[in-house]
Order: sequence, then structure tokens, then C-alpha cells
Amino acid sequence: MNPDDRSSAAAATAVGTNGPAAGLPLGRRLRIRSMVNVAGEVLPFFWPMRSFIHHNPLHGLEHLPFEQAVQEAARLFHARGWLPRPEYQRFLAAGEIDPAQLEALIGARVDAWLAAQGNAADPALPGLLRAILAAMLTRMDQPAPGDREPCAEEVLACLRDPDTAPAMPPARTNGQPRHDR
Amino acid sequence: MTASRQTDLAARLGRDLTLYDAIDQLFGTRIGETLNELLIKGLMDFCDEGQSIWRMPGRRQGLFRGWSRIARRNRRLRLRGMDVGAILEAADGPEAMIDLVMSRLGIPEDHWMDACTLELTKLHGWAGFVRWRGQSRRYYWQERNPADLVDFLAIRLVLALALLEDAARRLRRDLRWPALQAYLQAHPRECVLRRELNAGTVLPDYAHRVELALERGDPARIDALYLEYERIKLRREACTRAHRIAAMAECAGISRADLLALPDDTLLQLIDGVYAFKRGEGMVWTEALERSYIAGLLAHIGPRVVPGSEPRAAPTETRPPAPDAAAPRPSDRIQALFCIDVRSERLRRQLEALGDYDSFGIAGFFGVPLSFIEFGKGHETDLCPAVVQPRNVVLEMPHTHAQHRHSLYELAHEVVHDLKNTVLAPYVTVEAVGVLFGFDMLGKTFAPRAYNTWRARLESDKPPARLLIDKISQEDAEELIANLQDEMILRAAERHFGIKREALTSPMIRELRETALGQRSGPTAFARRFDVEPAAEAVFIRSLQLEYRVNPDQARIQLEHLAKIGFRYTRQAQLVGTALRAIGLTGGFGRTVLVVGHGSSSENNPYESALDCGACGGNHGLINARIFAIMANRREVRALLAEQGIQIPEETWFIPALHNTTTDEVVLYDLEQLPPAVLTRMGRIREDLTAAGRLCALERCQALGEPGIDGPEAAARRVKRNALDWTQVRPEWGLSKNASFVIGRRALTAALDLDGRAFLHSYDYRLDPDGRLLEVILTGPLIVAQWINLEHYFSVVDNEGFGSGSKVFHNVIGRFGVMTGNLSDLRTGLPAQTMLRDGHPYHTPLRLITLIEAPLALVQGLLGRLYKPRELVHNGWIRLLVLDPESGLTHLYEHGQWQVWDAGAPGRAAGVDCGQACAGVRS
Repeated sequence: MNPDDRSSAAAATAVGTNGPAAGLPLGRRLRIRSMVNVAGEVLPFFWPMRSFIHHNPLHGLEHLPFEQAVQEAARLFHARGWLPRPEYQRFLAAGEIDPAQLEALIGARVDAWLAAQGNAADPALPGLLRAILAAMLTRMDQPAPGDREPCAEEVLACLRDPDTAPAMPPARTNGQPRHDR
Repeated sequence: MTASRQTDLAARLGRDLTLYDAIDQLFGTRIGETLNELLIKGLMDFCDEGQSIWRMPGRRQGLFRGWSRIARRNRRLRLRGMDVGAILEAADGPEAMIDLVMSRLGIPEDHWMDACTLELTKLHGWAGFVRWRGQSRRYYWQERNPADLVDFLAIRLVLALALLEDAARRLRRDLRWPALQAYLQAHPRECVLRRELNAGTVLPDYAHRVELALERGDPARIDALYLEYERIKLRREACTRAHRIAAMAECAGISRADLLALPDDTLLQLIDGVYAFKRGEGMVWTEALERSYIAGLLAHIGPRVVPGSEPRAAPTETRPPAPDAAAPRPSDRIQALFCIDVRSERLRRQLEALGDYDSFGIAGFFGVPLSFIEFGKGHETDLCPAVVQPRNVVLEMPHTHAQHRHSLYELAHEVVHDLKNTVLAPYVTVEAVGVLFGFDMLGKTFAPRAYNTWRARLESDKPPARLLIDKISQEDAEELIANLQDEMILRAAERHFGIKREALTSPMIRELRETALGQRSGPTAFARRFDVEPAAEAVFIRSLQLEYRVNPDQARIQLEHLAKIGFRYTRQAQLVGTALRAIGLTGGFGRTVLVVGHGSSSENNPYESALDCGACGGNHGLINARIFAIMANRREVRALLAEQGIQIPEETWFIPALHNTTTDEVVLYDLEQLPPAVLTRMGRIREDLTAAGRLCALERCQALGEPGIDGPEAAARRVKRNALDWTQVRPEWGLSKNASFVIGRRALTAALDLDGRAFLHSYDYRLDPDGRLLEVILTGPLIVAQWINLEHYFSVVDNEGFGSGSKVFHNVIGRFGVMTGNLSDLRTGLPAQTMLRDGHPYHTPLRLITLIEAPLALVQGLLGRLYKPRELVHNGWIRLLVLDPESGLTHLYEHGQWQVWDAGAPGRAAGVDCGQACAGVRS
């Protein structure tokens, strides 16, 4: 960017470029002010600590359903809305989560997903998927996610590829909690 | 092969990435980091509240202008190659500056809003503080040095533009939006490789080759490398997923051979199913935690109301069953009002277990919102939930005379009396008068002392004080102001002419006052007596008007301020009546009703306020408890309450108390106002409270994992020691583990050990046919409890991102916040020490399980009318259960509808039989 180049964008606005601007028209000033205030509505208030006020850090997203707001907050604040899986597994082990409740919830999600897919082609699939997901949740750790998101065909190709099978590193299972951000 | 969503910079520019974020990722610059540092330094100087020795000049002009003045001459910025001065010359005012920078960077106007949000969330702690200040007109420092988000953003953008201009010169590139977009679109492959390299996501074995290819800049070579790189990276991720799927199957008891024997279509759907599920995994865990908690709570709750039953006159039904002892007369029972806070639950349970106590839960400000001017403090503190704006002011006055009853006149007169004694010497109530009368006491003389400690504490060596809670009459107020004006005139006469009180007559002072107020004109007796020239006299009168504020405008403002002091009797009766009806205590009063506020007492803890009463704006709850008790003990108030149908017997006394949540000790207050006969009953109550407190201390020690505690007494000693030990980072767990909010009769929960995890609000729907009482609970206490709950939720799920990390690295900054290290975003949320234990969550992250005992239709009707509670319930920010006493059913709001909770079947679907499913696969 060449700061001396005043030809393009700057000229398109009411802003002068020589010396202090004669001033932005009031209407435009107000528009910018309200734009900034609306843009800042997602920000949680920070009270001075002398009078610490408990608040929802996602207060500005309460117009969204919880799950969706958590996703949006992850984008905006670069923070996580759920614990790493091993921590939930600790709650499970400590008896704070009833395994039957967990299984029921997995089942409900599987059924909903399959219904959205136009149901399973293979009658064994629902039970299979539930069993595999239950194993994933209760017995596997959570790996760092990649960013290329391969499709199922690519994954299946690897699964079926005899060349990759022997070279597979042993899958890490539960026991070494790892905190992935 | 197309770049995935994460790597498509062109699409993410302006939505997820600022211009400089993209440039940092493409060219390895560190503009974002530098920008944050420079901005924080400026904000630290501006926002300082008396911690730093250096005071930034020009702050009164506001954040943007004050900062601009200094930045123009800042040599360090120029050394970095930033020409901030030239940018500041080009526009006047923060709005024009935002317009200028956005335009110069060529950002299309339809992207401005998103761009602003992105910029503001970069330092969300600081931005949140500035945003809070922007709407806190009564905040002293904001009044003095105004700041808002527009200022904040303007500064951020000036710095961003200066840094980008400098980077453009160094990189010899046009870095404005249109040029960068064109570059991203013309060289997508090169851009992906650049991002991989600079964002640290590059495959380690390819890093060197990618770096070389980018350095040489040969397009054909970059293309070829890109294709290979993407193929390998995708393949590796696919294989990782394949390994994981195989491992999951293995864990589920399905061998690799069995898995591979499945047809392709089944496997494809299986893989898709697993990865589709993973996106919702956090929600599944959270719901599992919540449903498990709900099942446990509902299994034991009760007894339930018999449909159609009338509320009994006496709330003795809240008593846990006392099998043997002969039931005492209702008036021998002791009633105790506690805050809804989860930490009250333990004490209530222990106290009730001792026998003869009925406890009630109510928001700890006891329904009395007020602004308080503490003795020895030069500012007002709001003692009510942050969602309420108090309209009444209460003053604390020292006991100068040991009198029992003061007339309004005497009280008002005493303000002036104290002022007279203290104008030039120690600051006693002069600060309170200072606040009310608009003098700037705080900044000039009082700030260093008042802000020397984090907060005022209720110290034992503080002189006993009374609370001025009644209205001052118009006449008293006028006389008070006249006295104050005379006092000011005396000070002025001494300062200007060295003339002391003994040389002046009262008529002289009165004449000067009337002259200054413009009620008379012409030479004054004062001037004649002391040979003051007319010109000097005019200067003196002018000084009285301007510096000493003896003028009609000021007098009018002072009258307005005084009109805010205290509550009328009718208002007092209304507040007390509403509170008593809300908790279902409208008859059957015992002789003693304890009103128990709470506060913590840890030393050296910037988070101390987080441990105090949330319903009192993060302060101790004692003042509200004392005021409530004074009101409820008033003969005049009781007469008005009787008209509303609440008969409080003459023998009933409301007695305020403070529950110290760090030590679980309860201290009774204002006992000197009790008649001797009542006082004798207090000995037994004190013993009961001590015993209950010790049992709580024992529970607490178990929760804190204190070793070597063999009984309640040892536990009490230990918690007391910890409270006084300033090296204790964790004197109490505060509200950690909070999980539920029960709104209903105590009878529902009386038999339950809720482990200090439940907010309890007493409520009897039979007293509330139109739902007005429940409305107050849903719009006040429920909102506060939800804030507390979600603050804990997010502080535990990501303690670095939403919480404030470890206290060990915290530095207090500017007396209003903490940073990690010497320079960071303001840390929001709760520290690791109250969230984690041995590095693992101590608090359980579930959304507030709210249980209301009321007919479903009543609750539905209220949600239909009340926007905020409805939004919170419908969007799943709280989990709402309604225990309908008329149908006997429990309803849960879930997935957009009310569902009947079935105690028999866990979850909505039948349990999954894993063994069967696996067996099906093998067969």
C-alpha cells in the first residue's frame, strides 16, 4: 500500500486528506457510531474487579440456540465451548454421568441423523454406529483435528488399503488425556 | 482438488480474518501482535485509576483525543516506522478516523460491520471494559475521563493503518483490501502454501521444500509442489481417520476383519455418521451430565403439594419431620431468611437439622435495591443485582451520640454537625456529603486512601454506624443545604481573608449567602466590617458561587440528590411485603426472624468480590439485611403491612446477620436496638449458629481436601486460619459446582443434601395466582443465577479462553483488573484456582437446572410475556423443569417443546444395548 496514493478509496468519501478534515457530516458520524455499537454487542461487559459481577461471557449471543452460540463464540473469541473428551470421561468414571443417559443420547442423535439421511441402507448400521460412537466417547481420546476434512471415500480407501494397515501406529486409547485446543 | 474452508483465505477475509491477520499468515509478519501491544499500552495509561505514579495528561478530553495527543509525539512509534501523526492529521474525531482508515484500506462498506466486530473481539477483555464504561455514566472514572467503543476502535484502526503502511513499504506490496483480494484469487495455490508455512500447520517433512519454492517464486514449481502437498496432506488425514475408525471398532469389540467385511455403502455411511456426530459431541456430553443430575434431583424431591390444598397459615410444613419431640408452639420456632446463593444451602440444612428452624431463600439484597454511601467512602455503591438500577440512596452515619431514637430532624442536622467538625480535619461524613453535593472529593484528597485497599471491609475497629434510611423532609433538606452553604462561606472567608468564625456574626453569613444566591444585591455588612473594596467583594462573591458552589443551580441539584436519600414508609412497606409474599412467609411469624446476608473474607484476593453476594452487586449482603430488618421492625411499616393482610405480631423481631462464607460463621447485628428481654434469646441462637457453622466447616474441609480434620471444631479452626492467611490462593471454592435452582417451597428440598450446589428460592404458588411473584423471580434472581452458572461453565470448559487462567501469573492493573504477565488482554472470567483441581475440572459444566414448583400453565403464561426468560429457556441457556403440583407431572423444556419427564426411562430413546449391536455385526 502506498500511503501517498490518495486517488482511490479515500477520495470516494467525504474525508479530506489535507490537514484536519472539515468534519464528517453528522448523519455519517451517527451511522458509524451506531455501526460500532452494534458490532460490539457480542462483547461481554467487563466490570471493574472491585465489584466483580458474574456474567455470561456469551451474553451477546443469547439470541442464538446454545449449541450454535458456542460455535460462533469459538470463531469470535478463539475459545472452546466444551471440555476435552477425557475430562468428560472422568465425570463418567466418577459417576456424575449415568452411562444409560449417555447411550440414550447417542441413540437419539444417531436416529435423527439417519432419518435426515433417508435412513440406513444396511439394517445393521444403526446398532453398529451406536456401538462405535459409544466406544469413541467412552474409550478413545480426542485427537487434534486436521484442517483438510477428507471425505468418506478417501477414508474408506485408506481403511481398505492393505499397504497402510501394517504401518498403522497403534491407536491411542483412553488413559493419556491430551488437551487439544 | 479445492482448498478446504480453513485454507480459503479469500472467503475468510473480513469475516474470520482482518486484513493484517491475512497478511501475517501470508508473509510471516507480526502486525496483529504488535498492534495489540501498542493498544494495551495506551489503554493502561488512560484507564489507570490511581495505581501508577505517572498520570496520563489530557485524559479528560476522552480516550481517543487523549491518546491522539500523546501518540502524535510518541517517538517510539516513529522509530518503528509508523507515521501516526500524519494519519491523525487527516481526520478529526474518532468517527471520521474510522471512516478514513476503512476507506484508505479499501474495505468495501458492506464488510465494515464484520470488520468492526473482528477488531473488537481481538482484545475482548479490554474492549468489554471500554464498552462497560461507555454505558456507565455514574462510574467516577468514566465521568472524569470518558471512553467508549468508538474511541477504542478508532485507536485500533489508526495503529493498524500505520503498521500496514510500514509493512507495505517493507514488503513492497500494495496491502489494501482490493489488491490483497486480487492476489488471493490470482495465486490461490501459492497462498495456501504461504499460509501453511506461516500459520504453523505445514507438514514438517515438507516445510523446507515449501519455503524454498516460495522464495524462488517460480509459478510452475509452486503449482507442482502444491498438488503434491495437498494430496499427501489429505491422504494422511484420511489415514488418520481410518485408523481411528478401526480403533473405535476394536474398542466396541468389532475386529478389523469383521469391519472390513462390511459392504462399502455401509462403511461409507458409518464413516460419515461418525464425523457428523463429532460436531455435536460436546452437546451430547453436556446433556448427559444434565440429565444425570436431573434424574438424581427428581428421584428425591418432595413431598409434593396435595392438589387444591390451601396454604397453611404457618409455614411449619417446611420443617423436616420431627418424630419424637413434642411440637413446640409456632412462635417458638425461629425463621431465617438466607440468600439464594448455593453456599447458603449447607448452613440452612445444618441449622434445620438442629431443630426449631425454618429457613427461606430469597435474593440476598432482600428485595431492597439501593445505592449506598459507606462511612469513610467518597462514592456510591449499588447494593442490588446488576440488572437493577437503584433509585434510593442510603447513608451510613457514625454514632456520635449514644441515643436510641433519632428524629429525622436530628439525623439531618447531624450531617451538618459532622461536616462542621470535620471539614478541615479527618474525612468522616464529609465524603458522603461530598458525593451528594457534587464536590470532587474523590479525585483530590480522598482517592489515595479510599483506593489503597481493594475494597472496604467490615472491620471490627470501625466505629459503630447507623443507617439513614428514611426520607428527609423538604424543610430539613433546605435547612441542610443552607447550613452547608454557610459552612462553605466560613471556609471561604478564612481562606480569602483569614477571618475566622468568631469575628463573624450569623446575620453577616446569612447576608453573604443570600447575595451569592442572587436573592439580594448591594454591599454587604461583611465588606463594611472588614473594609473590603467593592471589587474585591465582587471577586469574593463570584468565588463563593463558582468555587464553593453557593449558587441557585447547585442548590437545586443538591436538593435533588437529597431527595434520593431514604425510602418513604409506604415504599418500605411495599418492599417488605413483596419480599415476604415472594417467599411465602405471610403468617405464622415466630418471635425471631433472622435476616442473613453473606460475604467472604479472604485476604489479598482480587477476586474477592466474586465470592461476595451477586445479588448485592458483588458486595457484602449485610447492609441490605440490616435495612430490611429495620424496615420490618418499624411500627409504621407493620401497620401498613397489616392493611395488606400481613400481620406481624408485636413480639416478632427481625434481626440482621452476616454469614461469612469463608468460615461459615454467622454474626448477629444491631442487637443494641433490641429490648433486653429479646436479647436474652440471642444466646441460644448464637450457639445454634455456631454449631451449624462448624458442621458446614467440616463439609467444606472435605470439599477442599484438608488433611487431618477429625471433627467440626478442628474444621472450624482450619477454615478460620485459611481465611486470614493471605498466601491462600483458594480459601473457598465460592460458587463452584453450582448446578441447579429450585424455586418452590422448602419442603421440596428439606430432606435432600444438595451438597452446596443448589440455589434455593422459596416460593409458594398458592399465594401467587396471577404469577406476579414468580415474574419477579424469573426476571431477577433467575437471571443472576444464570449469569453465575454460565460464567462458571465457560470458565471451566476453557479456562484460558473464557476464564482468567492461573492466579499465579496475574498482575493487578490500574486497580480495576488483572493481566497475565506484564502485558495481556484483561483477564475475564474466573481463575484456574476456583475452577480446576489438580489440573482437572472441579466445577461441573452443566447449564442451570431450574426447577419451578407451579402449574405448567402459569409458567407458560409468564414465559409468553417475559422476553428474556423465554429467550434463555427456548435457546437452551437454562434447562427448565416445571413440577406441576396439580397434575403431579414434571415437564422438561427440550428441543423446542415441553416434554413430560419420565422417571422410569432415562433419556428420550430406549437405552442402547451395545452387546447386542456388536453381536449383530459378527453374525
